[in-house]
Amino acid sequence: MAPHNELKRGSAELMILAVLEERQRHGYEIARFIDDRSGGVLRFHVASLYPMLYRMERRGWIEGKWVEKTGQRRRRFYRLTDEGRKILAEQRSNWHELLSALQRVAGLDPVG
Amino acid sequence: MDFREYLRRRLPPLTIQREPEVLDELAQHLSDLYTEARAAGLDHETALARATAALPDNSVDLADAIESASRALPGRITDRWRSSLNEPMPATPGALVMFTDLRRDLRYALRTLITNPGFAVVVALTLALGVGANAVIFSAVDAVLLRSAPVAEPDRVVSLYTSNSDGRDIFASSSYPDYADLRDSGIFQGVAAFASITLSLDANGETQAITGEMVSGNYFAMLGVPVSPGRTFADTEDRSGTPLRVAVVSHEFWQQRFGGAPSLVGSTISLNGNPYTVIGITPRSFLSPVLGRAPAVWVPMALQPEVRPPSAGVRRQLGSSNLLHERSVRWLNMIGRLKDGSSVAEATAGTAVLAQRLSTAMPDSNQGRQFTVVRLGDGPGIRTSARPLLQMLGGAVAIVLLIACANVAGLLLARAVSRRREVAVRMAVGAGTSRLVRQLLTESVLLAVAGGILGVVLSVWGVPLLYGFGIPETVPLTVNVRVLAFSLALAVVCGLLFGLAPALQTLRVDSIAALRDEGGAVATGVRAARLRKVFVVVQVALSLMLLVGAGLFLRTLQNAYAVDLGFRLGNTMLTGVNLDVRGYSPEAGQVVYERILERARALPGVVAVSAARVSVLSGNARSGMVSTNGQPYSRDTGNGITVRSNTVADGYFDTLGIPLLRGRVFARSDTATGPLVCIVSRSLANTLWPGADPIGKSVLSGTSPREVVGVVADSVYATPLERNAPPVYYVPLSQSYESGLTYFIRTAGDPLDVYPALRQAVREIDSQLVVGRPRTLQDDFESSLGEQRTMALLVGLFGAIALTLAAVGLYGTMSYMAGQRRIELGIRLALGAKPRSLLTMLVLDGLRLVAIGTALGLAGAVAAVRLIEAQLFGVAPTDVATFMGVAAILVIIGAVACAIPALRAIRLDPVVVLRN
Repeated sequence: MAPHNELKRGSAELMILAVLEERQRHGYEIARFIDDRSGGVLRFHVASLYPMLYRMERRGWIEGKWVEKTGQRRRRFYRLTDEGRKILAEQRSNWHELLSALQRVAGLDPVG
Repeated sequence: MDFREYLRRRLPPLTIQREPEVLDELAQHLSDLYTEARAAGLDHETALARATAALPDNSVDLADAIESASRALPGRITDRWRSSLNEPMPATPGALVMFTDLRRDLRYALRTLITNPGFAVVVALTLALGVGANAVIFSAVDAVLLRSAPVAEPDRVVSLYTSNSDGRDIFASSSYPDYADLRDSGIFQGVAAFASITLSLDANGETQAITGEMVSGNYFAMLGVPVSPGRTFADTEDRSGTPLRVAVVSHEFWQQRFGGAPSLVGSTISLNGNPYTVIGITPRSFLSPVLGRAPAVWVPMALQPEVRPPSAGVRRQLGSSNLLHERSVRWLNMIGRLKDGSSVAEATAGTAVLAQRLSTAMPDSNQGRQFTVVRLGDGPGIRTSARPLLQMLGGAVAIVLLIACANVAGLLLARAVSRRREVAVRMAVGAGTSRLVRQLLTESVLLAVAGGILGVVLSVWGVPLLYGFGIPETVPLTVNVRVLAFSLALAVVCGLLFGLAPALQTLRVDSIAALRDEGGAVATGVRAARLRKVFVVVQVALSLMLLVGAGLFLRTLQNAYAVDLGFRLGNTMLTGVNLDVRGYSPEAGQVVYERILERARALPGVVAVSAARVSVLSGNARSGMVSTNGQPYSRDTGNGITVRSNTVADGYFDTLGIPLLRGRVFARSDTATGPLVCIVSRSLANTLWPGADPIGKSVLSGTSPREVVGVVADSVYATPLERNAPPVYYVPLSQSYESGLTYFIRTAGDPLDVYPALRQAVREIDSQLVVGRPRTLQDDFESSLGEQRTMALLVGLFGAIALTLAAVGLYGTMSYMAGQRRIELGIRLALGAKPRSLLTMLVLDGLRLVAIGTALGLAGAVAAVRLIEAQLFGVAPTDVATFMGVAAILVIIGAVACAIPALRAIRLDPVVVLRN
């Protein structure tokens, strides 16, 4: 059970880090973005998204900041920290390794 | 659309600082969902539903996940751990996190339990019964068996006894000269002597009996008990011939009688009409090295001739009251302290040499006698008499606890099955296995602690019942810190042991299947159900064993009450008056007791009055040997039979209602100077002179023969439960003076009503005499059966608890199994099965478990009853009626426990069941 969970959590972390790579986003935007990009296959629930964001923030991978715009309620935007960038690079290469291994072993189609 | 209020209502309060921020953020998320849905053209209702659907069903889990994430350790530390342990997530990352984890576990457990209070209450109550029963027995085990004597280094303190010359009683009393030899032998670091006495205290114009002890001068020093304020006895104060009237008093006596006045030390109190100087006060913690004794006053042993004169017969024989030089009169108790590093065996070897020397030097008094050395409390006393009873009851309460635990485990198992989904969700959001096990265990330990505390509360009510076993009230049976600690520890161990299996069971869940629907977890249900069946069988077997015990004790009590005592119990008051405190001569004493009897006879409402040396049903008896052939009894020829004797005043048989069968009762003409007479019981007459007329025959006990003047019916003497009680012969008080007597007063009305008048009458005869506490013969009868009654009560109570718990367990299991078979039952009903046949099927299913349990229980009971054989009376330990009766009760209750859920199960509508 544990490795499976770990895999799932690891992939979710990777996605969040990747989504925040180019610019800061708020929680809803992150969920929306992942949903759109995956064509609805990967979907984040509130129950897993926010705990994960808070956990990553505690670890110092991302940083949240309240931003107020006139006429709107304040939103919390998350951006990648330097530490987060390092982790993202690390995870990317790990995942890449894993996926190409899977590809070779399980005969999966090449990842697009 | 603002969802903040909605969230505040949905989410349990978070205990993190940034709660408002979290709420803002989540509300914003829902609001975005709503706005997006509206933009896509949905109406308000649908958009609202879509937004709120983003929250999980169980908002507790969300809150928990948020809190847990917000408390995650900063990255640098976790990363270091991750790399060092090469583990993705630290399971137990350190004291700090463990503490926060524990707090979270507790909070979560509390929250979960509160959402299902019925379950929590049933589990806590079940455990409370089990733990409470154990706490009651442990309080006695602690007070009687575990607590060490309030003396310095109790491990080195030993009790010393002198054996009989025939070595049959190795725990007999000792003589003063033997004590002095043992003390001076150098075998022990120290040996002290003590003997209990009754003193009359004059204070505030009232005379009151108090218990005291006469002790050798070294008593307190040897025991290592500091006397403060004041001092202990000086050597000069315990010197035979020139004793000083000084006294050490107990802390309690000082507080109660003198209000704790510090001026008591150095002042004078009046004991037995003589002035005593109080020289010291013992510490509060010290009562006596002997459990159950609690003297108020200690006086030097050199005062023996004055405060504890021997019986009139011994006085006549010795021509003196002084026993301090008499080796042949054994009356005192000894207590010693082993030398540092010396063992009981070494001390025993040393005393054997001394005993041999004394035996050779003084064969008249010491031939064949040995000294016995045992650790304090291992000799005869409360500890040794209570031990087998407490062991038995300990076994009984252990069974109750096991049954309770089986029930709790059954309940937890059922819950484990119904919580599969929750566990699967938590696993999916990233909770580790160890986290979940800890969480589930926290819940069961929390329940156990609640049950333990409740159990201790219950035990406070139950503990006083134990005084029924003849444990004196001076032994404090209380629910103290040790009992509390024991109970809580017991509860926690039970919680851990019996929470572990269900917890592990819960985790054996295929989370995907459990999340998708309930189907994947059916296997867990089957395993749990099998385990629960085993629990039911065990419960039935154990409760049957307990109930068999209860049944046997009940039969014992019934038989004891049915014993033909041979005398009347009703309307009779008993009280003791001891003339020793006044040091009367036999002649003067004789006059005093006759005057007391005379005055008592004249009191209004009194029907008959008499007195006897030994009070019937007190558990005490005088024993002796009677010659069978007219020759003085000798051990070598074996020409004697063991008899009981009693010295009684005029009118004894009439007062008690013991029928005279032949000859006459004692009369005024039986004077000290006249021919010596006696009255024998029928069984003694039949033994000594079968078929012949006993009147005029002579009975030889000791050296002087007595002529039989009458035969009375057999009657119970020491206790109604005595098996093969020896026959009895009676001696008239007028020919054998006794200074301590129990008076029997039979009245027309309530016998206790005459007590004040009797007290007044005795005071008028001698104001220094103390009339003892009044009681009725009925009281004595009841207390003589106290042990049997308490045993029947406690084992019955524990049996009833066990039966109830087992029935609840059976009921729960049957309900659960019937629930599992709903669909099957529905199909059967739909296919035309008769409800009646389904009912029979379900009940028989349950009864099969009961039958297996009953069979196992009967076998276990047959094996276990020999442990209680000694406590039974008039009933065989394998009494078929008891065994069968108990089994029948169990099967009937089992059938009811099965029938209720079965009835409910077949009352279902097949259409409804099958549609679901």
